[in-house]
Amino acid sequence: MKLLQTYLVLGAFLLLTFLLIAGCQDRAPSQQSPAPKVSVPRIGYNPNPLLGPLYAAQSNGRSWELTKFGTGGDVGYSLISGDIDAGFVETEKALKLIKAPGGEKLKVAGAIQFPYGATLVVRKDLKVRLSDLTGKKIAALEADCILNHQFNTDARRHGLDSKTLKFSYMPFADMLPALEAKVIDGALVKGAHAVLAELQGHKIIYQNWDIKAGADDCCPPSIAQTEYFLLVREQSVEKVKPLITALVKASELPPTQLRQAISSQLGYPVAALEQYPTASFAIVSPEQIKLLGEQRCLLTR
Amino acid sequence: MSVDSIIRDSATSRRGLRWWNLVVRELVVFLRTSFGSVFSREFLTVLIPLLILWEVLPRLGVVPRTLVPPPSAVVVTFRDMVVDLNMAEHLTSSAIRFTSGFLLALVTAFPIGVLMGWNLFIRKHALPLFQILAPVPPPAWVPITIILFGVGLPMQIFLIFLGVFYPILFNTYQGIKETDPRYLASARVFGASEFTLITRVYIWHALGSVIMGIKIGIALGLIMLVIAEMYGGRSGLGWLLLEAKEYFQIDRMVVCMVLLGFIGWFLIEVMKYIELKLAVWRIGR
Repeated sequence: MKLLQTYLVLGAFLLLTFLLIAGCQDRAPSQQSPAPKVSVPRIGYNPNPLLGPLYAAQSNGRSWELTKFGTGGDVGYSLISGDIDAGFVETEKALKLIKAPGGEKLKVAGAIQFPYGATLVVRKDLKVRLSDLTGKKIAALEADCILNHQFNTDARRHGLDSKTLKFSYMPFADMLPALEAKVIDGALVKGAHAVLAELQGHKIIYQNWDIKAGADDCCPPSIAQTEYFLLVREQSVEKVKPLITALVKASELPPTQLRQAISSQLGYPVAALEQYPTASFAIVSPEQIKLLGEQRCLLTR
Repeated sequence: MSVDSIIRDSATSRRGLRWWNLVVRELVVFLRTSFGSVFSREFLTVLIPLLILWEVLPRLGVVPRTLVPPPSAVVVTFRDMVVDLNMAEHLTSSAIRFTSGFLLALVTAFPIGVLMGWNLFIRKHALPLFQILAPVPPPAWVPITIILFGVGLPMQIFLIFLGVFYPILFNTYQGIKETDPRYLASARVFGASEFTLITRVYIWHALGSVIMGIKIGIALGLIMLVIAEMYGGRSGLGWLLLEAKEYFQIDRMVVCMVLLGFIGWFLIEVMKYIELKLAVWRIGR
């Protein structure tokens, strides 16, 4: 009986070790997700009005397959696992991803960019003007950020002492959920997030587009206007090149066409998008190459 | 000082001492029963080799260390999280949400379960509704819950409530319904009223089932806690777990998973202790 028990325990450990080792190995190309007969690259994205160039490129004929994901994190894991060939990942997450396990096989092919700007968004249920904000809880990226400095200066001109505000510091990506949860009353965001906030029904009570991006440490110039990075698996670089070319071309389209593409993909009325600039796609800039390292970037020039 | 006051003081201090002794004794019993099962020879023969494998395989490079962080790295990450991320605050937030949802479910599901098990009229009216609603997976309620309560604490509490409610309800109902008729007949012979039957016979008979329902409810409640913390707010163990997932911090994810497992285990051990104290006749079954 004891011998049987010992064998059982040993067998279980061997099986577990085998499963653990097997589960953690990189998948061989032949085992990757159901290999399509025609080798079209699969592109992962999280639907968002900032991906206008992608939607426009998609509607101008395509040789790739778009796959929707719930979050940029899911796009990242699918890239690592090889389920997709390329994907759009939010800047902060992409910077973590390329340093994460498996991320060394990814290359940055380009970036979706949006004008910087400072915007104060307040919760949809609040009926306030800038001068009524005394004592309200406002989310901001960092205390010593150019957005804050500009806002403080502009607020003073409108009769609001920003020292009376209760600032709470968090990443831009967390501000919108915090507004929705009523954890904060307002959020001082950069331009791209203002678009998303207003499309969710929140109100903009202050906006200044005349801010020089990257004038401080909290928003480095190389990524200050970058909203998404297009990450590509090393093995799929050739397959993804037509997409990159199409994205660059789509960025040159007139804003009305880009807005039309966003509207038809996401269902937002064109009128709601008209008050904002449109996002554009650009291949990695020399500053970004410097920041990320040449071997991490896909150089298509 | 009078003799009376000296006697009174010493009686008070004796009572205080007795109370303290009782607490210590019960704490020892709890620790012995809970950690006793973890540190039993049988379980250690499984746990220790597993921990060794988990530590050694990533260190030897058989599995990537960054994908499977070894226990030693997990401990270091846990220490860093306590220092850098104010872990106590996150644990407190999660504890408040979980406790609120859990207690709300307990105080509603238990009486409804008792009434359904005791009275055929109530059972026929209420049971089909719960049988229709129960199979709906709690995460499927998320969109409706957001519409009803908005994104925030009430929504989170309600989602946890949904996870805990049905296991307690159905286990209580089943336990009450299966009360041995001989016990009821005996009690009735001695002139027990229906209220006495419920409080002295039905509930005590169903206690084992109720505690089993609570144990299942704890596990489902923890699942719902993580789901609930995906929405609204920037605090809690579930939020930390999802944040770590989004930013590819696998070691932090493992810390959160281990903590959730530990909390679940601890709460189930608390329930086992309560069962040990209240339903003595079930021990050893």
